[in-house]
Amino acid sequence: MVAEASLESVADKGGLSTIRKGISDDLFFVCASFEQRTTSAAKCLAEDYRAKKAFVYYNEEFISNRETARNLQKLCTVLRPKCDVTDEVAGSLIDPKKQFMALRKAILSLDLDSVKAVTVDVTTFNREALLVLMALLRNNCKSARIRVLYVSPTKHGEWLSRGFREVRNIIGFPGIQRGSRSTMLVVLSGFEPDRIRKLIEEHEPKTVLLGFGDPPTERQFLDRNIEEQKTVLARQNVERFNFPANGIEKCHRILTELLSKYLFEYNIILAPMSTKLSTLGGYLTVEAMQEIQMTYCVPSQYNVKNYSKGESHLFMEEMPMRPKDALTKSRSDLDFPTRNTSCRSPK
Amino acid sequence: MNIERNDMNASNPFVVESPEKLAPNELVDLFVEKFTKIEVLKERKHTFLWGSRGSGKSMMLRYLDPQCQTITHGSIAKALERERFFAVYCPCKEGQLNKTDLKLLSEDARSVITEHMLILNVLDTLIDSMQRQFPQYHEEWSSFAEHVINLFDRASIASSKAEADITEDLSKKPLGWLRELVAIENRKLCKFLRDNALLSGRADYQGVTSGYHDFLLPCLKSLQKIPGLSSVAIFVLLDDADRLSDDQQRVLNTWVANRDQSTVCFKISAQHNEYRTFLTRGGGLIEQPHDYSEIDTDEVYTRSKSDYFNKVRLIAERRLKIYNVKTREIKEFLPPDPTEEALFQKIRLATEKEWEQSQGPGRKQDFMTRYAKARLFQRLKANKQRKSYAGFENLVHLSSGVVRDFLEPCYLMFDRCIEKGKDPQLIASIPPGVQNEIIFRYSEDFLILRFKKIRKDLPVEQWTVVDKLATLIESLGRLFYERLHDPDAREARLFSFTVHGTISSEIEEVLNLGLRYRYFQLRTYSTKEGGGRLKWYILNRLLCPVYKLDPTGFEGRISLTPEFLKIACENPGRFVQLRLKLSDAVPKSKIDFYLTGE
Repeated sequence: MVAEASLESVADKGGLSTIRKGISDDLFFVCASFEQRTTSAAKCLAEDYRAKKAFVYYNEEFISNRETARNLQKLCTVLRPKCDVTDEVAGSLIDPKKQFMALRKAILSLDLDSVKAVTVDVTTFNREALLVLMALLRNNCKSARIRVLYVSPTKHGEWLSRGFREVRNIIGFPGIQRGSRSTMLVVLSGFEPDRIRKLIEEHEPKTVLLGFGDPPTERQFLDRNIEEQKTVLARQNVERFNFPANGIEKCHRILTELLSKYLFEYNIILAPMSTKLSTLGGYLTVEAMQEIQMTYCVPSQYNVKNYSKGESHLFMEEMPMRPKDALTKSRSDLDFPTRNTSCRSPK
Repeated sequence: MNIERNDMNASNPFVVESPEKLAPNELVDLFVEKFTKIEVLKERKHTFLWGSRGSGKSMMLRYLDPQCQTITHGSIAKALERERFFAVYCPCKEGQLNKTDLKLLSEDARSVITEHMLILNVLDTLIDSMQRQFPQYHEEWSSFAEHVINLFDRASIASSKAEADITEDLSKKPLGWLRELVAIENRKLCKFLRDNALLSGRADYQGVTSGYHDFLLPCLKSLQKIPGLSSVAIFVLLDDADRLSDDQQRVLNTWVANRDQSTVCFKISAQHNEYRTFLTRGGGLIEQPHDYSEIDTDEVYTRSKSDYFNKVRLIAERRLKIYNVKTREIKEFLPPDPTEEALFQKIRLATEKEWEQSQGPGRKQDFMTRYAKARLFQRLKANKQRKSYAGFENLVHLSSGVVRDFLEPCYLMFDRCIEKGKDPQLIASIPPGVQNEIIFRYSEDFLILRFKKIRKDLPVEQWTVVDKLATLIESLGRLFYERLHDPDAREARLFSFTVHGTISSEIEEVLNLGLRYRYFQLRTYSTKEGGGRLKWYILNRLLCPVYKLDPTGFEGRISLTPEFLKIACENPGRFVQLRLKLSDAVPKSKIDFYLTGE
């Protein structure tokens, strides 16, 4: 269940405590960005909040930005007294391998079997890094409870991003496509119609399902969502649907119901471009339906100065435990088959 | 102004649909074989099909698909008997083959996995197509399926066979069973990619692998045992292969290098500059004509006797017929401006007279070709009249060799007539005024809005290159305008340039960007001095309305030094001034001329 409260009321009640009462979290993960709300959740941690380890992720492309560097320092300052160890993790927005390897290295540095409680402040992760992080956590810390924190802004800038670098599938979410099937692109839309147009141009889907975040995290966001996506919706072969943008599991339920109808008819590609909560709703859906590919349009430029303003509400939701049948076991001592061609497992 | 298409209008004969969205019968209806060089594509040779987006590559490939060939020839048996190929259409879709996850593999593993993934993709489409076309050959398909299974490693395929047995019965539905087997292997491959990325241990690959010699070739050879397919080659149509990674393109090149064309031919379509390598996996180079033939769907020549002109005419007239438009001749449907036509005829006669009086220079026809059109532009300027670009011929020229750039403006013109209250059923022609209104805006969009789009397409650090390209276009547009409107200019209808000397990487980047976004077309020509060929850049004629240039053919080319090109990328005013001064100083005999070398 998702819990929602204003930041003031959380502070009034003494702040956020650990997942298990009286026991330190094993891990706290957060991303430092140029947005004001990047430090909001960390600042809401209770006086007695403790974690064994904290990772503060950042994308190296933004570190030259004064706000990002300052926020990184702020986060480290807030977390150091509360966490036994606080490390920075430098990833990349542009280079998917670098981004992935940085997160993988951080997760695999942990004693995975002992990780039982993880708090992730997802507020200002870029969606690609967030999805990779969640996949790594859920595949490697299988018995961990993962609690998600998200702070919604009061306002977004006039534009969020401009231009595109590339469209690529997110590592860990390759999907399973069949050559003889047509493509369906499913978009959880936000305020960036140009990025959606680019996705349509690159994937050339037969059908597009364009999702609107209803209910949104803030009422006014839905109006803007509808306004921004008008031209995309007017295109041929684009159909509308609604999804809850304010909760992980409820979004997952809607997506599962919708996409299971098309799973064996199309090669489905999911593009989460709305809130981080709905992005994780998408994550859960793809975790259960691995035929679906996750795609990402890397923007060329972010509105660093005016991406968002303020901090409105704190959303808190625990990820459901992985269903046992979805777990994949590693048989690390087996090799790649050698007939036909000789190929070894990579490393 | 941004021209928005109204996609709701289904009665518009010029509507452009992605070939993938067209049903086979719609595609056959719209496709025109003549003047497309499809005969080259039908040859038993590996072929690269080059062309910009919208130039008709996918349409050509899709037309070879058995479903379309069955409609064209009446039955699949007749199609195979006449054409002797069975085509498998495999679009290289974004994210389908070029998965980011492959970047995590070592080079060797990536090479093997990528080849296997390509083969599974071809196999899935091939079986799907065979199931549809030949449902009757049960015995033969059983043997085929058995043969295919035996091509795989017995131990490695065992678990997939057992899994396929659960959902399909090999003895009852051999092709359905085989397709299920391919799907299972595909799942194993994708699971490996996922596990390799996400799991802490070393991921193991539990599927089989397949290569060209040990799987694809013998598999396709065994198809020739199916009745009707004995003398048939399989054409594997790989559309948009520029989307593939370098490793994947190297795999394709290795297949092409094998030259087993009696069994399999690869027909690979791509945008020319985006197909990044011709190297094979072994480091060899595939070359034309030894290893493959090629077709370029981007046409340079658009004059009325050209194949392109005739192709567009047939395509347009086919559409008028399908949509039951009253007028069946496209020249009547898109009439030129009558006043301007009359003025041009007057000028032509005067030019003819001028030549006859002085009996020269050169041949009369050449003299008239060179001067009459230029004088029309000069007269219109003097009279402060706007040049009309209406008329079928003009619109073909303006499309600069890309059919979509003819159809799109026509779509918008038809749409505008409907907006003005005309009943679509009663539209017998598009008035020149409407044609002009749309084509000017279309040209303006190509110059202004397109640059905005290009900026969006590129990372911020490349925006200076975009700006330089915009400045270069402006410089050339202004220079060519000055030439065309100068009554004393001999080479008035200049429309292209060559580069003499070694250009910097910075300028090369600008020119390459211009090629990528079709502001230029690139050809080469042999130097008069001999000893090699020079790059020849031709401006996209869609820019003519916005710069008031002549789209009908082109004469002469200016030769630019790297220094001049640099100035052209920075300061249009200075470039035009310096270049015009230089031309005045150069004797006429030194100007690099040729007469409509089409």
